[in-house]
Amino acid sequence: MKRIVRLRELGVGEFAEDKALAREICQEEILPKLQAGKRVIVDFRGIEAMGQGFFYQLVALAAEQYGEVAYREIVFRNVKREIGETMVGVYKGLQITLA
Amino acid sequence: MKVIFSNQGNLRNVRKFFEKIDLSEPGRLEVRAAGGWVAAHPAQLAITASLALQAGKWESEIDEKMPESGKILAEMGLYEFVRNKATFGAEVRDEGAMVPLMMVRDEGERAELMRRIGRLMIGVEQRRMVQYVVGCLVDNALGWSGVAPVVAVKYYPKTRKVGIAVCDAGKGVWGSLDEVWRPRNDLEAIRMALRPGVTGASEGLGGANVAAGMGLFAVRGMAKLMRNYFLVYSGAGMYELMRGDRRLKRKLRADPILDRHFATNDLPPFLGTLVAMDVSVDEVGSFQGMMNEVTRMYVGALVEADEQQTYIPKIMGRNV
Repeated sequence: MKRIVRLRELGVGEFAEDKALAREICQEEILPKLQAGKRVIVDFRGIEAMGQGFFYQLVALAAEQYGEVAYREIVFRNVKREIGETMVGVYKGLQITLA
Repeated sequence: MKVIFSNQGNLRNVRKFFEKIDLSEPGRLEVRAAGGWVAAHPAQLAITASLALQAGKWESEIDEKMPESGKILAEMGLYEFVRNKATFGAEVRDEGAMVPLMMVRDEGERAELMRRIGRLMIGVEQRRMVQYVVGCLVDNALGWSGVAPVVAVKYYPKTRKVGIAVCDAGKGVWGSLDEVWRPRNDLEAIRMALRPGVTGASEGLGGANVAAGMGLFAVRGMAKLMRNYFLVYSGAGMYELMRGDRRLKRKLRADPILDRHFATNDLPPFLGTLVAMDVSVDEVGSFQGMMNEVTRMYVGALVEADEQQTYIPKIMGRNV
């Protein structure tokens, strides 16, 4: 099982905003890897912009099921600086709402 | 039911249009024009199409004496929701300037809607903004109302604005929040829904993993940052964010009542929800920058409610 999740190869456009697709990627790609005890690398190469709802749906289910393990073991790469800021905001909100 | 189009087709004065909607006889819809000139914002078109869906296509009709300027109704696809055909000449739709009325029932139609927005003749950042706003509103409607929404988007090159409207004939904002939040009336329900972290999915700020309670707040926030009109009409309630003063610093507030607004709970009781806004092409600098500003506000409101230690995402290597 490859531990890298390349978003563009999974149908995400350069503007990542489709929440249903993000949730599907979480269920089909991220959760099984976490279940297998692996670190998951989510590759944002080619993603130019992102809505906050996309990122929320990408990680919310994992955060709810695995808690701290999900925050520790899901790693993001090739992230544009401004997208990274959105991620930080969503992570903070997520930890408050799921606490 | 009766809907009257006039020469006022701006979001600024759309309230008068709503006040004149006659919702008696819900099994029948008549659409007509007042005066010799017809203008229509997507908000007016979307709510009319929703009413036509409620009445049924064969019970809905547009007056045949519609003036020539009423061809905007044909261009935007309103005649596809009623039984009679347009009496104007062959309609020419400019795909770069509009996304005519369309129903979004599933993921496939949502993707098609995004493709059509992608063809609008506006910049990349502006297109992302429109796609984000429409995507949020469509997801909200599909997720909470249980009814497929009607969407319309129109670009006005002269005023450099994009008018957006998403309308569903579902259970309304009050119906979505009643089980958990118990709002007293439609206006209070709208006010709650516009606050960060409020969702019908759970009690307290923030939702379960299914919803963050940020969508509608973020859309209002984007309108505020762009100093544009934004409105929600559901039941008898309507909240309208007024244009911000250019001399003042743009600041987002958690409670929509603290922003410059108009609110009423005395409109004709529309069974459903209409959300509409304008996107000023020249006010959108960086979509992601604005997204970050809105996200920070959202987190600020949540943190206020629940001070605690939080993790940040681990990002490998240098940012690209």
